[in-house]
Amino acid sequence: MLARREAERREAFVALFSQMAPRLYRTAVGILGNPHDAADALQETGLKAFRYFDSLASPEAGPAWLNRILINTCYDVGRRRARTVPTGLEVVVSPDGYTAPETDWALLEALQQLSPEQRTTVVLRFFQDLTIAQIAQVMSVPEGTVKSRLHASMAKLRAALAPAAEEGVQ
Amino acid sequence: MRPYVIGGACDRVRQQVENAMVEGVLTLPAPLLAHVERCPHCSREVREVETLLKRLRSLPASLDLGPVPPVVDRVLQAVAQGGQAVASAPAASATPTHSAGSLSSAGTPVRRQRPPQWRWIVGQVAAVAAALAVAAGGLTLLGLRIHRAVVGISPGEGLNQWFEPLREWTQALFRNVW
Repeated sequence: MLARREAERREAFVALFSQMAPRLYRTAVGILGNPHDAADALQETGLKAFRYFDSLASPEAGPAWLNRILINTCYDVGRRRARTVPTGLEVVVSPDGYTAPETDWALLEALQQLSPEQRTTVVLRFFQDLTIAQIAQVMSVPEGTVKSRLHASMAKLRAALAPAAEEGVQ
Repeated sequence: MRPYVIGGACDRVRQQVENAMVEGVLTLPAPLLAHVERCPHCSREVREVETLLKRLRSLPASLDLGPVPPVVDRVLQAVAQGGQAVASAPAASATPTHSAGSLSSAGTPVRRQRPPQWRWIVGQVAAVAAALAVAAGGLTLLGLRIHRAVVGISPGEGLNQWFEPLREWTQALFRNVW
């Protein structure tokens, strides 16, 4: 009886995590700025999520729940990295080329100039295509906060990318 | 400086651009589109925001998913091996962060179960009782020492001997007040 329940639990987790993994990975890359840390964060998220899978109230809440764990894990990974690498956040371009050549590294680097909360908001909006209400739910903040963060982030990104865009036009 | 009047076409374009920066979608009605084509300020602003939105939307697709399968496999392998692998995994911290709680189907956060509060209360009561016991023991010892010191002397004299300096000090302290 217990074994069957455990098997069902694993099966449900595997289905949820396998389905969400690509989106979670992209989100982690957006927040952390490089694929290596994103992969670490994704793995850590998976292990944590399985450990506390019983606390998930309903299967419908699974994606938001996983997103929330991932975001917190990304913050943890970012803090650990900030401690070990005093130069701060940097976009690491993979030498072995497993990232697509058309990856917009300039934008990814500009994202790293945002605060973690702003970056997460932008990533959830554009990488996962969540609505403002959904982002507010995942980040446990009012919708107004999400909007102001989005606005501030976009202004910063515009300012950061405008010189490069002008050079491109000229 | 951009030359526009409040409520004019440039202003309405600016408002649409502001909205786009919040909503992530830029929509311009036909009259404003025509204006944007003519106005160099608006066309530049709109182009900037459109480009940024386009870049943001295309960025996730450009991130190749090469490293995902190994990571997912590792997690799924750990899950297949059961709780031991998860518990011993170095990456997994002992406790999840506070926000890693679950969400109900209604979308409201459901707090993870905390240890029962009565344990905390019992602990506090035990700590206070221990502190009182120690204090009572100390006072008893002190009383016994005092008693030993005044044995053979009448209680009044003994007490005076102990409290005389204190009385003098107190009187000196309040002399100027009275």
